[in-house]
Amino acid sequence: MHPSLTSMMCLGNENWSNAQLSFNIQGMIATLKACYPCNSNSTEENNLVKWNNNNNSCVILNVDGSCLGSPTRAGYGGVLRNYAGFSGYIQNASDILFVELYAIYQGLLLAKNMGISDLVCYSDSLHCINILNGPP
Amino acid sequence: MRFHVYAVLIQDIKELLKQGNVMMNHTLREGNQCADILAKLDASSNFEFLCHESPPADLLNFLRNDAAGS
Repeated sequence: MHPSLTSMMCLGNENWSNAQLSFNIQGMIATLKACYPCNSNSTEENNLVKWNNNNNSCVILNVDGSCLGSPTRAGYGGVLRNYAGFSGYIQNASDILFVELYAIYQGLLLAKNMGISDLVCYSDSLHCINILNGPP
Repeated sequence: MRFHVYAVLIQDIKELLKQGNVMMNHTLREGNQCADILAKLDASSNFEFLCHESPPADLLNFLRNDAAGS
């Protein structure tokens, strides 16, 4: 845009020196800042999530399922802490609920075959947990 | 009475839960990172079941993080 046109629109066609302009802008910024007190720090919340070790009181099983890509390839995996890890691929499956349930099944089966009877199983699928903990 | 689509699988899991002293709990994805990595690892392989006696290299750092509690 032509400088004189800008001057006409913003300054009412007055001629301001650069110093004067800068001084006015900075004054305006200070005024605006004073009007809106900065409180971004108080509204921000950090949620730190970490692995729950249950104070090492029992064996912990973490399981998860995943569906990737198109056509979907489904896989499941899990960790039996201090014992073993397992993973696998499920043919012809594309439903995440099935994959998550299958991961839980395989995890519990592995624990049983290894002779572990006291354990806590963690899954990140709330739906599965609700199905399994719900009424029979 | 209506049955769930995966009623058989759910029943199998419930049997396993009954046999031992097992508690099912929910965790957020961040607390389940290691399982998540294994699940994604084998969505790209062709084994139907693979038991790892020692963790794959990709998993080591995450296991250490969990153990350190960070």
